[in-house]
Amino acid sequence: MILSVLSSPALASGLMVVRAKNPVHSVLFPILVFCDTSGLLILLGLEFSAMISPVVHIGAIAISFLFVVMMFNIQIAEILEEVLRYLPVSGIIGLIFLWEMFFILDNETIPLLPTHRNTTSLRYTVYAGKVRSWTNLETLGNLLYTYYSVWFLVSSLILLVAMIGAIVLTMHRTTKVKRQDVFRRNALDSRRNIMNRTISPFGHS
Amino acid sequence: MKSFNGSNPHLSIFFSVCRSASKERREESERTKWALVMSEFAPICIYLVISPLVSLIPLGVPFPFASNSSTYPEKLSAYECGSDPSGDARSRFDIRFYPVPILFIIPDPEVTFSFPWAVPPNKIDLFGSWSMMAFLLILTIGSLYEWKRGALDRE
Repeated sequence: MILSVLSSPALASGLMVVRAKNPVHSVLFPILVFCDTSGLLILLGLEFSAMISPVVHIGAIAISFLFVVMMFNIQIAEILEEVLRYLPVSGIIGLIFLWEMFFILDNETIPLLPTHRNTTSLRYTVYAGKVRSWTNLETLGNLLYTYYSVWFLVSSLILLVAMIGAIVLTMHRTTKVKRQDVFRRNALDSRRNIMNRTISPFGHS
Repeated sequence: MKSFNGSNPHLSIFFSVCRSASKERREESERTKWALVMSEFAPICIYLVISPLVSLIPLGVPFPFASNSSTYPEKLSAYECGSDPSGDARSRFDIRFYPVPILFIIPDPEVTFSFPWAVPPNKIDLFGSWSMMAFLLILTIGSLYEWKRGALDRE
């Protein structure tokens, strides 16, 4: 029941991303999708991914999408005109995506059409996991930095490229930025600069 | 539960007796374990109820009192020193605001990857620690580039 409560808003929001007239609305709907995805991850028992995924997806990805949308200059009427223009190509890509989904939907565990089988009788219990099972955090920590360390370092390279690319693309030729010269500031001697000047104001200067 | 197709009848009878006798107790203990694990989420559920309430109530309270469709449009239009409003009030978005979320997004996975790394230090031994150090070194090179280039300086 919770599964359908969580996944139907996700589907509806995904559809509304495409159908919303205002581009800012179509960036706000993925935020709902990410919340629902986090709930689905809790249902799967992956509590660390469920807690981190709002931080990463909403706080980083949705915000950067929002920034990109803010840079548009679209009049809303112009969007309504050209909706069907991209239908052939996008329709083909959508059908390819739908075809790829059939690789995932295994008819044994996730039936495509409503069946009369009692699907709850296929529960496969790993009894060793009931004695002491690893949390999601422990599992990730054990595997990510040792067995999959190469892919971990590849991800760091991707982040590096993204950082440098963003800076290279958006930096102006820097105009005069007020900077402090650190060495000069450390070399200032208060005895010479301040103390000499604070002679009594009523005396001769 | 999967049912056995009785290869060994004594074993299957024994298992079925065990299953029916302790089924309730085992379901009870399963339920309590699930309840224990899920009760860790109880504060989060409380926050999930209270924080939308706290944010949505001040958001929704002005709506009965605000201008609606019966307000005449002259009142709602922008004020441009008396003459009729022309053009859009929005200026073009300055691209210099874009590095701000980008330079937050990059250290965000850095911190996220530090969380699972901190948990099993006895099992990762030396190799895992050094791979994390290599990750941090690569991202430090990026931060150094950003610092020297002055991407976050204001003018």
